[in-house]
Amino acid sequence: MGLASESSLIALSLLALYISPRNLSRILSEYDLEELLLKKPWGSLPLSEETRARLEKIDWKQVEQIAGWCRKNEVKIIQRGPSYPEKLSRLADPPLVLYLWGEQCFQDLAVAVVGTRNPTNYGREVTYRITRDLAEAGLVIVSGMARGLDSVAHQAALETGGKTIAVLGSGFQNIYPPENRALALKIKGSGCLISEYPPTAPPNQWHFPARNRIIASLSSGVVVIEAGENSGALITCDFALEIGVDVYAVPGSILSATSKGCHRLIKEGAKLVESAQDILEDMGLQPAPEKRVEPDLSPEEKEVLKLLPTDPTPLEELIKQLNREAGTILAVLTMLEVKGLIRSLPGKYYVRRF
Amino acid sequence: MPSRILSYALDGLNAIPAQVEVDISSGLPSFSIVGLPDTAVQESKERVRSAIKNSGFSFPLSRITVNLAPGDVRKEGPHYDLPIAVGLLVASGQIKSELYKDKVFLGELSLSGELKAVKGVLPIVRRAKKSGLSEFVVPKESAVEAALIEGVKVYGLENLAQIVSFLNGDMVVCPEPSPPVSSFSSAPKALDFGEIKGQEMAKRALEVAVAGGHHILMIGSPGAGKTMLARRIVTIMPEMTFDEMLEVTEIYSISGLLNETKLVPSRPFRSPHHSISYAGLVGGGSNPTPGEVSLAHNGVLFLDEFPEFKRDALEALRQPLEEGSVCITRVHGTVNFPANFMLVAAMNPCPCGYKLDPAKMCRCSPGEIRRYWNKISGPIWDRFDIHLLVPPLSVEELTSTEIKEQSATMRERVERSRKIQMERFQAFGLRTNSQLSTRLLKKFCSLGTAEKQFMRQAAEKLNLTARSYDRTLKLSRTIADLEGGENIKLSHLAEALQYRGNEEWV
Repeated sequence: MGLASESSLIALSLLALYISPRNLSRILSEYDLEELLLKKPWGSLPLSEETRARLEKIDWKQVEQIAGWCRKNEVKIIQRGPSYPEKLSRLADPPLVLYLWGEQCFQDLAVAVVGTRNPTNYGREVTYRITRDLAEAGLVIVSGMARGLDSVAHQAALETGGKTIAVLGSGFQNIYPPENRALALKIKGSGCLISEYPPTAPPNQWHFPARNRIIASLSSGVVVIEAGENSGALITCDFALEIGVDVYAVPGSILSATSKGCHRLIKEGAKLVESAQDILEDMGLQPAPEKRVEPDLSPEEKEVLKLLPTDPTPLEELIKQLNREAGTILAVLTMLEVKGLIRSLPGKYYVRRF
Repeated sequence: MPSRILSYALDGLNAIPAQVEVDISSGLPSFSIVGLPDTAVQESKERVRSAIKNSGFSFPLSRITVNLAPGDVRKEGPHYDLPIAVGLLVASGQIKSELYKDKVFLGELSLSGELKAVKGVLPIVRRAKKSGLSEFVVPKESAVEAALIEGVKVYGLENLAQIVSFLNGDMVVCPEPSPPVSSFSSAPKALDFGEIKGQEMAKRALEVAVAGGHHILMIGSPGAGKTMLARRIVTIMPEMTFDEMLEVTEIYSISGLLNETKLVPSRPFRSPHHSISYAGLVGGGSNPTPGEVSLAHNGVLFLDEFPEFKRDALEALRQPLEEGSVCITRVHGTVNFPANFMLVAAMNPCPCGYKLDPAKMCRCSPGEIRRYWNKISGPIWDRFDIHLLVPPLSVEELTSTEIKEQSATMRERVERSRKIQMERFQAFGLRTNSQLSTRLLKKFCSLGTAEKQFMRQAAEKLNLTARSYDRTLKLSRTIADLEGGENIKLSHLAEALQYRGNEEWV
C-alpha cells in the first residue's frame, strides 16, 4: 500500500476499531476503501450484531468530521513511511495509523516507566525519584497516563523539564481517566500524546493491553516499579521481551501485594534496580550531574529537614519526634515544600526530595 | 361583662400577646372557643370543665363563649387551659378581686386541676417583659425557667385551687427567686482534649477552627478518632454569655427539650444521624419547630458520614451557614429561628473507608470513590474553611501515656483571639474571621511584599485555586490572631496552607 490520504487513514483506523487486522487486510484485498464504505459488505465477516451495527454507522461524513477536528487541534496523523517511528516496526502488528498530539520525539532514547494503578506511597516515591533522575539524564519517559504510577511518572518528567510520551488506550476526545485531562495538556506541551485509535474512540477495555505494545516498542528499556500479580505492566514486559527490550524491576516488600509482579520479573531474569543510576549504567549512559541548589533555610527548617528520613513519614510521627507545637511544624513543612526540598504524599506523609 | 385574661401565643420564637375573653350569657348550656384555636386548644374545654369541678368550684351551666384575640393568629398548644379557667372563674364571680389584671397566665390543666409544665415559657416571658409586663402565673415546674429573666415576678403554683386563693388574696405567694448566674457557668467538663493521644495536627486545626469560627470537614478512616475529636470541640469554645445561654434555652424550651436545670449552661453539641430529613435538619412542619441547626445554635453541629446525608438536606444548610438563621415559610406566615453554629463534618476518604490508610487495602473502584465525593456539591465544599485529613493512629500512639495539652489551655488562646476579632470587627457587624467577605478580606488580610511573593510561589507549586487562596488568607488571619500578632506573617500563611483540601484525596 502506498501513501494514503488523511481521510482514508482515518477511515482505516475507524474500521480497525471493530475488525481484526487479519480480517481487515483480507477484506481490503477484495474491495478498495471507497467501495468498502459504500457497499458495506460486513456480512462476509464473522462479526457480532452489535459490531455490525457500529460498522454501519461509519461513513465519509464521520471521517471528514474527524479530519476537521484533527486539523483544528493540530493532531498529526502518521502512517507507515518516513515520519513513522522506526522502533515500532519491531512489532509483529505495528499500528496502521498513529495519531500524534504535540511534538514528536521518537528519535531520542526513551525509557518506559510503568506500574500499578493503586500504588503505595513507597511506589509513588520510587517512581518519582527514578523518573526524575532518568529525565534529567535526558531520556524521554514513555508511559500510559493511567491512574497511579503512570501519572506520577509523567508528572515527574514534566517537573524536571524533560520530555515525555503518553500512549493512550482511547481517542484524544475521550482522555481516560478524565481527571488526567489537565495532565494531558501539559504532556502535549512538553512531548506528545499518541494513540492508534481515532479521536472519537472510547476507552475500551481491550485497547489498554494493545497500547502496551506501543509503550514497549517505543522504549529502549521498561522499568516496572510496582505491579501486582495480574498487572497490566506485566503485559508491557511481555511485549518488551518479545522484541528484545530490556526489562528492569524495582523490588518492594515481600509482604506487599503490589510488588509481587516485580519480584516475579526479577526471578525470571529482569534486572533489579534501586536507582536511575543502575538503568543508566546498563544502557551505557552517564547520570546528569547533580544540580542541587541550597536555598536559604531558617534554623527550624534545617532542623526539620535534617530529621526527615528518606522514606515517606507520616506527619504525626514528625510532630512526635520534633516535640514542637503542631502549628510550627506545619508551617515549616509548607515552607520546605514550596522551596522544593520535600514532597508531600497522600495521607499526610512527607519525604525529602534529595 | 366578659372577663379578660392576658396570655401569649407562640409563633416559632415570636411571642404575640393574646387576650382570653370569656363571656357567660343566658341560653342553652354550651361551651365554645373561637379565635383560630387548634385541636389542643379545642380540647381544653374538657380539661377546664373537669379541673374546675374537681377543684371544688362550680362550672356555670350557661352559654359560655371563649374568644382568643387577636382572631387572625393561630393559637396552638395546651397553655391556654389556665387563662381560660381563670377567665371562667372571674366571669362567674368565683374570683372576686382584681389581682388577675396585668398578670400573664400560662399553663396546662389536668382533669384534677393540677398545673402541668408547658413549652415555650422562656421566650414568652422574655418578650412579654420587653412589652412592659412583669407578673406571670405559671405552673410550678416552669417557674425556674421563667425566673431566668431578671426583673420579673414569677408565681409558680401547683393547682387551680391555689391559683384561686392567690388571686382572691387569701394566700400570699412569694415570687420565684432568680437562680444565681454563677451556678451555671464553669460547670466541670466531662471531656478533654488532653485525653487524646496523637492527632496533634487535628487538635491544632480544631483550635484554629474554633478561634476563627471556621467550619471544618474531617476526612479519615473509620477509627481514626473523628467523632472523639468532634465531641471535644465544645470544650475549647469560649464560655457562653448569659444572653447566649438564654438564646439556646429558648430554642430548647419551645422544642420541649429542657431538663431539670431548665437552662442550657454549656454549648450544645448536636450529632444527628445521617438518615435525618430536610425538616429535621433545618426545621419545619406545618407548625414550624426548630431543626438540628437551631438546636446547635451557639454550639457545634456535627454531621458524621457527611456524604450519606440526603442531598437536599445538605443543600439546605447553605442558608443557615450564610445568615446564621433559618427562615421557614408556611401558608400562615414566616418563622425565623436562630442557627448560628459551627459546622463540623466528618467523612471517610472512600466508601470502604481505607483509602489513604497505609496498613489496609482499599477495595473501592475509582468510579465508586468519585461518586462518593460527588455527593458533596462545590458550594457546600467551599463553605468549609478547613479540610482536615485525620490519619489512622498507630498502636504506639494509642498506648502512649504522655499528658497532652488540656482543653483549658487551648480555650484560653481561643478566647484571647476571639477578643481581638471582636475589637477589630466592632464597626463591621462581624464576630469572627470566618465571616469576612472578599472585600473585607483585602482590608484585614493585607500581605507584605515577602508574603505576597511566597503566596505566588505557593499558588504555583501547590496548585491553589482562587477560592482556596481566599480561604488561606482567612485562616492565616485567625492563626495570626491566635498568636496575638497584628500582621500576617510567612509562618501563618504556611500553616494555613496545610488546612486546604487536596485533589489527591478524590
